[in-house]
Amino acid sequence: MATLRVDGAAVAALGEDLREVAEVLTDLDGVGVHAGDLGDVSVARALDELLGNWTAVRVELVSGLTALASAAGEAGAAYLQVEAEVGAMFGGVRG
Amino acid sequence: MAFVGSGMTLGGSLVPVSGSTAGIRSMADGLRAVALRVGLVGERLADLRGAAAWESPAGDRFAVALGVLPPALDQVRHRYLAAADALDEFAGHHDRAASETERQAVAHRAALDDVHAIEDEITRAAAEPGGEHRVPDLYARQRAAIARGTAAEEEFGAQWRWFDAAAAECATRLRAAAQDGIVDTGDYEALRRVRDLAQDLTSAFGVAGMLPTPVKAFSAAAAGVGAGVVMAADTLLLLGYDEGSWSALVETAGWNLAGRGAATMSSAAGIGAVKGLDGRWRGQHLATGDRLRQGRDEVRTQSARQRAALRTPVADRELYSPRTGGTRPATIGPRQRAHVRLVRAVEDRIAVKVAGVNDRWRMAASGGSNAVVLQVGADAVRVAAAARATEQHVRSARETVPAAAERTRDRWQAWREGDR
Repeated sequence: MATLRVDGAAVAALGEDLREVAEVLTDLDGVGVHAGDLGDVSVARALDELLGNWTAVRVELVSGLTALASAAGEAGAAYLQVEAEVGAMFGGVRG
Repeated sequence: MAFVGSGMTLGGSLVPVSGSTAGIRSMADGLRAVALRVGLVGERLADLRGAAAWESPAGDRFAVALGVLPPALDQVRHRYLAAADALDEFAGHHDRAASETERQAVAHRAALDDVHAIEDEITRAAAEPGGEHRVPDLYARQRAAIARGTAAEEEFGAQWRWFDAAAAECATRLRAAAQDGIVDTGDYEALRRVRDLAQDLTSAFGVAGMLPTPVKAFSAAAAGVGAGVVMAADTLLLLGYDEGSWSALVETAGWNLAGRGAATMSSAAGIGAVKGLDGRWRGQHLATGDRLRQGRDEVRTQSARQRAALRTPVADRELYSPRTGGTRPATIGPRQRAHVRLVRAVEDRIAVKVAGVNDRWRMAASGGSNAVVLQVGADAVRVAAAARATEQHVRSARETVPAAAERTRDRWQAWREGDR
């Protein structure tokens, strides 16, 4: 028999967080560093390297996080809906 | 101009430290905001793995799926925090160096202006009657101005050396932070570079291949080769690193093949059509199979020409006008040339492409209904391919132009304010 102890709102919020981080990681792809902004070429190059030398992991993370964000978002919403409907069956207020 | 006086020299204008301290701080804040956000999600994931919020069979499966993700979030957080700290410290050094070098540059410029003004005054004093007695005093003032300028130069140099050392230390810290467990492998990095380079070259050659220049044929052929390299790199990325998707790859391959199919159909539609002296097209009624066969042969001949163009990048320049890099001699006078230019301005914009399309259609119409059907199919594929290519170019441009960086900065800014 399955035991359920779920905070539906927390699961849904987690989905949002995961999606946001995935979007940030995606946006990092387009961030370029200009030596003129930093006043020094060596700093600009080092920062460029730091931002851009982990593309493989970043792409893998974005893909995984996006899929999990979608799953968590849908699961959280479904848990909240089921809880509201089951509560209504026993005379509670349907949310 | 170097100025020499009393054994001291004064060089040209000084260039202060460039860049923006506020910009460096903003970048550091952005990196820190990303690190904090990633850290927050990492903590939530850890809570979730402990089943505090989602204790059920589905939650267990979700936890398993989470476990498959690379344990990289913590490393991302460390990397970005370290970079933010290094940049914050560097911003302080930059602030001081920028203001100090600016101050010394202003002082140096003022000293140089004084030296020049006094020099003019010395010349005037020496020329006017009885002015000689002022000259020694003027020379003394000039020496003092040169000394002020020299002192500014020395302080300026010292500030620059101090800033260079600070920048080198910051770069070392950034490079150290960038050498963690999530760094791309050499093979992956090389593959991505080849792919990006091929993509850029394909776009550039694609545009060059549309212009009437002696390198048109070569550019068109090179764009085709570049598209093949991009496709191969995408395949390797998918096979070796699970990056991308088979559906996207198959779709791209399908469009490449569709483009070739459209060329064959279009050639097949025009087979047998000959333009008469009256400007009208006269065609032959051929079986569809024969048309397609001959169209394929024509496309093969064109491909052979393209391969030849790859071996000889610059075509016969005598066939092209000087304004497009050719050497074709002018055969008409200046007035006629002006007239022709006017006509061509209209033709270039409207008539040429329309006439090309009409010729294709007239050739097909003169060949019978099956030829028209082939031409319809070819145009449909081309229109669809062009629409897709345009959409991709626009999307690609949107992703690569600096607006992307701007958007990210805005996002960081919003988070930073939200975190306060």
